[in-house]
Amino acid sequence: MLKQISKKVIHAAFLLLGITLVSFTLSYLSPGDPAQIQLSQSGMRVNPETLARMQTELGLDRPMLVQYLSWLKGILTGNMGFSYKSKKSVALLLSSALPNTLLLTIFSLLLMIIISTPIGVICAYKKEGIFDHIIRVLTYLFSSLPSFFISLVMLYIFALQLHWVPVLPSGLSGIILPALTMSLCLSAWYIRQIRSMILKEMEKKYVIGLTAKGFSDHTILFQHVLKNCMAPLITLFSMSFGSMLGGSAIIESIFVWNGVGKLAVDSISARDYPVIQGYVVWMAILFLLINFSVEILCQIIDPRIRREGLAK
Amino acid sequence: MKKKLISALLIAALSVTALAGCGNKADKSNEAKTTETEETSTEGKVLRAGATSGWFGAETLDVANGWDGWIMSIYGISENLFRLDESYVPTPYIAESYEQVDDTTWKFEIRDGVKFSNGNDVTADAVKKCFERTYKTNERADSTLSIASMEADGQTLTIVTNQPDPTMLNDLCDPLLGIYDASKEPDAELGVSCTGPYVATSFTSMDHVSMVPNEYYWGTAPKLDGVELSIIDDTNTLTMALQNGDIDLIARMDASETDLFSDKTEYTIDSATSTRSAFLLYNLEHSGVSDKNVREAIGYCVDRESFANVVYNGYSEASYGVFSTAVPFGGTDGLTLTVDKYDPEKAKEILSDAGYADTNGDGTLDKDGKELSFKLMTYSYNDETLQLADMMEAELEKIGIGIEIETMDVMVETEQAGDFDIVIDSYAMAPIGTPQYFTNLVMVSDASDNFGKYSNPTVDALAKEMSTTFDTDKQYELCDQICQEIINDRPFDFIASTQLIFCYRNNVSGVTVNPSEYYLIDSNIDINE
Amino acid sequence: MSKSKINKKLGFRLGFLIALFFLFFIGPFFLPHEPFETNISQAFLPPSSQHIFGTDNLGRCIFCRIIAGGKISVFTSLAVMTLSSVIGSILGIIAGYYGGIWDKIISDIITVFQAFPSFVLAIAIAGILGQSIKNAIIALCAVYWITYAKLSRSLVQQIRSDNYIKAAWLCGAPPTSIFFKYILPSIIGSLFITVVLDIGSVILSMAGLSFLGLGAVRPTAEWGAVISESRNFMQQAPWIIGFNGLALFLVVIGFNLFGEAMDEKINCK
Repeated sequence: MLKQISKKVIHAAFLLLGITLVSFTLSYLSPGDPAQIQLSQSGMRVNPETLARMQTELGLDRPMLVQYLSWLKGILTGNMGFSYKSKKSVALLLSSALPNTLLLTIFSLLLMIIISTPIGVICAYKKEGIFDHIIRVLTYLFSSLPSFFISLVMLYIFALQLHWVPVLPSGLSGIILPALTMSLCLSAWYIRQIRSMILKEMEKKYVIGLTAKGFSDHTILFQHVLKNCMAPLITLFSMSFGSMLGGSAIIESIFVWNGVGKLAVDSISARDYPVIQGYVVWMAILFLLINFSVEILCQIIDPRIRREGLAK
Repeated sequence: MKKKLISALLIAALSVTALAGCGNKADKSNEAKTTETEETSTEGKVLRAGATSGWFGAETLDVANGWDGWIMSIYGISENLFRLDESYVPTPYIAESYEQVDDTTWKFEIRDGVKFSNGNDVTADAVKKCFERTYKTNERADSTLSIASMEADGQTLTIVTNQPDPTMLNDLCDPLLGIYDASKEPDAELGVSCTGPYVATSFTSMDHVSMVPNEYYWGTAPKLDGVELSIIDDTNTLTMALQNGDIDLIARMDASETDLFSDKTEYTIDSATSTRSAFLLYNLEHSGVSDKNVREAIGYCVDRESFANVVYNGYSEASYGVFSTAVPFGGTDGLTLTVDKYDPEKAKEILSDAGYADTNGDGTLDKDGKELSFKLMTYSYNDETLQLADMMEAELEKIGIGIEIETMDVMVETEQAGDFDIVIDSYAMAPIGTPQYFTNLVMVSDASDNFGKYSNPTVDALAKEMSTTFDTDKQYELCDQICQEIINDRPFDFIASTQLIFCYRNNVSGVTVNPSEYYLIDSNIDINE
Repeated sequence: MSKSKINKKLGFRLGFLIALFFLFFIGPFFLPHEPFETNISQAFLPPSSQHIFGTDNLGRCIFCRIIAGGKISVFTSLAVMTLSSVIGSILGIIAGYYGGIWDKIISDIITVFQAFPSFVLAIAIAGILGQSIKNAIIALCAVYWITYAKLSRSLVQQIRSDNYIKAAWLCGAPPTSIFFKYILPSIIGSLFITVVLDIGSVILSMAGLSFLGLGAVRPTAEWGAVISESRNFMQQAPWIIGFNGLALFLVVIGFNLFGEAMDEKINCK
């Protein structure tokens, strides 16, 4: 068990290196000269001499590999550079915005599990029934509409027309609408996935055996089928974390939720490359950590996977 | 089975603690907000207002820091020696009276009884120390008002300027020269102590500020018990907040939203024409736009009236001159116009007379092998200039000029690099009501914002004279001459001057829209619950 | 489900897609109004007989703009799909067939790219390269190629050990002939279905990028960009956002349903 975990840790470290390399290359390829940007932002005149001096100061004349290594060293010590726009430390900006995004993502995830699991189970249980069909239509609707469209409609209906949420929420009440929107968008897909997963599991031979033995549908569903679906379900949910972290950018922007997604979108339109770079690295690392924990979680929960892993 | 139960409980426990932990962190940043609303909801009359970061966005509450002084003046925290009235005329404020001793020497009597919000008296020496600190901290101070020396004696402050300054009193109205107590270090959150009717009790940069009346205020007692100002950059959210009643007033509202508040029994829309104008700036070093005929043709293709009436919903005035009619030296009286209406046919005529034709059949006109195809740049967040760009692109395509629109959050670097052909920009052209401001900032050769590299020795000479002429009538005459040169040469094309719009619920009263864009909160604003 | 029922479903949905194709490909030649010409006196007209979907803030006909924008929204997504599936499949086939060091390198690259949440990577690439359709296509390709690389790799690995491949190899058939004659035909079915099922997601991602200001450059009739621009008029002219959203919905669901029907047909064989 320990050996497996340590192997995974090394693998993860190698991945992190790859991630940082990709992020750095992204920024390196960006148009716009950081030296020129910094000069004009500080109000100084840009001429060839000051430009050359600033470039040396920023270390832009060194070969790419050297720049990468020094940037990497900076990251390891927590220094991710400074935002062009606000001059604040990128690490500071990201770390103050990250809790908000995590909060939104976790809340949305919980909402999504609460919404999609029972509905998915019922749909599988009462297959082809009227409930199943209505839900089918709804899931098609929600999964074929872009998240920003749904967000705008939600905003209009719930905040303005129904007055259920204040437009200017104070504190945590501002999380309701964006979390609801995000969870609805993803639930559409998940309900279908859960439904098909349960149906597939129900076709397995052991279910026939249990039915023959006289167990009620109810018992089979809850005590056997669902248990076996747990691990793949958790993997599925963890995958959604990735799309939530990514999709948060649009939703945070529309609902004005100060998370890293909104920070990234604002930085992109401001051409604030250091922040974009930091954002990519942090999100990738976060995503990696989550996948890592989920894998371990799955191993703890499902003895089959543990056995598989040992057998490898 | 037991193992699974334990692991399930562990997961649940972990997620709950994670949630709680994140909740705490996020809560702390929102704590200020929640405690404020709790605090103020127990108090009496509180005005809640919203605006974008362009109007409410201060980095700190230090008058000397960047443009924060401007915001603090809007907040009603900071005041100046003089104050601009609604016609841009400087009136005595913290300075009770003044005397111009000679061309460069001015004496000001500081009003008795004015105190800073920390209780200290405002003496001439306090003002002197305040200016000294501001000039040390902020680079713009010297170009706003160039001071050679100051002398303080009791309540009398003597300022000697480096050159004769005909706009001295107007310059003193610039919020950068707000008066604050420089004898104390600025508080990390609440900044410096000023003289205005309100003081901040909590401040989150670029987010929110809460204020209460200044107990030491020298003027009429402020009528409100509290003020809550929120920065909302999203137009939708800002509008909905007012519709919902989450805020009572929107400062500097987008003209496009005015339709939603047309119910006069519930809302009041108050506006005043300011000197803010949308204008085109041409890069005279690039081929095509360097030809005056091309610039004139483009000018004829802009439907200014429709822009003012539709895009701005009528809250704007079409312009064929230079300055806005809000100032006495603005408008088009006394000027001979070149472009005076929307006339795309005339534009076509001008271009073909000048020898442009589509010789290679690609849809755009050309001459001597150079295509009339330009990069048009504007701000990505200014809805109105974006729509103007769209309009221009469609119109110019029709007459054979190709346009590629590029939008940016910050244009300064690209402008300085000259990496554009045409820019649509929006400036407050005379924020302190003087013709010198824009002239020296944009029009003279080597001016810091003269990105198109316009250079006209006549304009330079007139501008220099205008900067040292004390007679206002003579100043305005010189300004007319400068404007005529601009109209003839067309390095800039002023499309429309806009109105400053405030929109508020009818229970709010005492609001004055001062077109200078320097003021909002004062002791007159009241709210009747 | 009976075979004829499946075929009918498939036929219907394919017909819908073909109709959409014609609408966006041929439609622009028959528009009643110019989609890009501004006519500001006609701004914000609600749907009427003159303009069936109404007009926008500059008086442009929304129906015409949606048809014109369809070209961008749909065909750029198809470009992304084609590029990413081709590139991804080639890399996946090389990894799966040759194994060894090629497999290691390509698999490692796949794993690194997979570490990024997909939309995060897309907006970062598009954001850094700058606003343009070309860059949006590049950004989305960088995200979507992974699926095809993984899929083709595992498919090829499965059939690599099949006897007929071994026989062909033993007979000295050149790799290209093995590839075209044997490998490609077996995997193309699965690849094609994955492509069709993914198109909807690509269209939405492309619209998402344009919504954030990262795709189509103005003035554009791309649906996501139009929705973004019309946010400020959401209350005054909700039909702008409504109809553009509807267009996205119809196209995406058209592709999704078609993909599902194809999936059913192939799996029910």
